[in-house]
Amino acid sequence: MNMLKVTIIFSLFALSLSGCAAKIGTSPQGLELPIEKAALKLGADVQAGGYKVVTTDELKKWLDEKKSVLVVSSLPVEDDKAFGILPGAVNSPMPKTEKDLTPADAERLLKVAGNDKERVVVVYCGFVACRRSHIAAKLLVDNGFKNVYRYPAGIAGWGEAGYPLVK
Amino acid sequence: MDMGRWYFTWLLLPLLLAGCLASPARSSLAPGQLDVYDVTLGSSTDYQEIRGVRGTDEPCLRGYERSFAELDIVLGYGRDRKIRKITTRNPQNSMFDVHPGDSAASAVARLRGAGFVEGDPSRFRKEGLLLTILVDGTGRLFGMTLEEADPTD
Repeated sequence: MNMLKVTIIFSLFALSLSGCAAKIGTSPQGLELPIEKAALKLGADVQAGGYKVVTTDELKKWLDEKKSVLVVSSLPVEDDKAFGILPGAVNSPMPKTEKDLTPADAERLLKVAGNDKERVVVVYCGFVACRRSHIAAKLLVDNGFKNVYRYPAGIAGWGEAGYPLVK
Repeated sequence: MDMGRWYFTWLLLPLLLAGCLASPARSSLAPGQLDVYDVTLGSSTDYQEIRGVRGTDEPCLRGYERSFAELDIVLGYGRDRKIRKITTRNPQNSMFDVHPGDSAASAVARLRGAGFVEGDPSRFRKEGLLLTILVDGTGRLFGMTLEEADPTD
């Protein structure tokens, strides 16, 4: 076997091994277990909440097209200041769990959402595993709002897509 | 300068500088002002378990939160792994002599007496601290959170 043949065989072998060693899964970075946990929770929450979800690309398209939509950040005011908000978003903080929801939180959100129950409202928070947006979306649905969307990826997804957050 | 003194100086100097450059103590809480299972704000203790209850972690934008469900407390850890936030719904705990279960009116009076100033509704500030009270529909406090106030606020 000449040297060229040996080199080619070894190169192919190395390439096939590197292919096997590459991470597999939803994200090339791995993290399948937290993704599974967040996905299951998201699915259950969406079903229980009775609202719809919107993806990063869809929401970006809506905003670019100047579609009439109210975007609500359910993050604490401090986080909005520190990390920025989606363009045109208004703030109405929600707690992380239902247990911590106060009548004042609910009242503030309903005031922000206004009286038009047909209005498209999109709520978001930090990332898929963040449930503040679920609490907000469910509250709106429970109060008769017909077109409520949760944007699960939140500011983490918006930033990851390279879209601007406004400070 | 002899070698002994030289070594002494060079060993002590970084230590002294580290002390100067370190961030100031995060909490200026006096004993008794915070009574949540001996947990203190700014502590780097990694509480895996408190009173036999194991904590479960959830991610958050500024680090992670560890919840001890049976105790009704949540510890917020920053990215530096120090405790930046403490939430309790447990009536056995107190912050500035305010307990979950107290009436909101008495809680507000006590917090004002302790030098807190109310900014937004239910949010009280004092010397780098932010205390948020959770009030139910009957005017009773069912929980509260003490955290380091954002210095840019």
